[in-house]
Amino acid sequence: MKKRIFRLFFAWQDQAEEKWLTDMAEQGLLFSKYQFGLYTFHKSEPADYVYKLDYKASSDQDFEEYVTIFEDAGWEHVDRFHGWHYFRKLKSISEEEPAIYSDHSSESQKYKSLVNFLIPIFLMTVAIFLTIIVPNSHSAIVSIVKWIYVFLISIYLYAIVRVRRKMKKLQIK
Amino acid sequence: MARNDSLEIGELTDTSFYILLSLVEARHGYLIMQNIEELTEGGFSIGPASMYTTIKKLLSAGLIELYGDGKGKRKTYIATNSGLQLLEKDIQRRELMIVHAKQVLNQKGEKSG
Repeated sequence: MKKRIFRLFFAWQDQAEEKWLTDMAEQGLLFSKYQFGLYTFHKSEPADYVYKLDYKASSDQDFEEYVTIFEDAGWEHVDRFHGWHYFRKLKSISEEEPAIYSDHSSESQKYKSLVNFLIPIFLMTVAIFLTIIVPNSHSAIVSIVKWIYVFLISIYLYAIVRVRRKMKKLQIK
Repeated sequence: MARNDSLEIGELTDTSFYILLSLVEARHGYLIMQNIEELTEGGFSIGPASMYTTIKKLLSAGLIELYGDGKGKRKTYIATNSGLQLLEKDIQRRELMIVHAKQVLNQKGEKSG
């Protein structure tokens, strides 16, 4: 049995998303697929899975190597969405909460590559806004699009600020 | 690049120290992990995301290189000459830290004892 749930998590909410997926598994809903805010779960017995999200910006050439390193450490690659990768691992009684990052320096790298991905998109949105939308905003439709762009630009800017803050916090630890 | 990037200032984090040390001999990710756990008797373990990220970082800094044909899903790496040099330098840095710590603690012990 499948169950689909729509829920939005923003770029800076990766830990909240991990926790949500882990809680869902505890209730017997095993996450299997993600696409544009739509989460697919499979109904099963409650399971002690821990879900973790990694962000990998680099090229896909080493995708197999990347996944194998996780599999060798006992993690299962569940799904991917653009640069985001979903992994899960069964909690063992002896082990403390399993983690995919074991030091702050490499974990801050995750947020650094995320910021490096967000900045060009942000700049592109601003460029489209200034060169195409603003000069034509006397028409009614374009002025609606204008407000959508204002919203998008604010979200991107906010995301960059929040993700950068996470990165900096890990760097000074 | 961030100022506190340890490789930039020529220092190794504990994670990169142990990975570089393991790559004195050619190894792939899983063997690096096993080697570190054996060496430290389970005291130090590296998560897979940290392993992948650190390997890529050492690779792009030229401290390690791909070993063999690079085929297959497990890539094998080995330390380069500049990797070995940096490892040596970092061992000296860490030794000096221990010397300093012992100096301070011994002085403290003499005063109170």
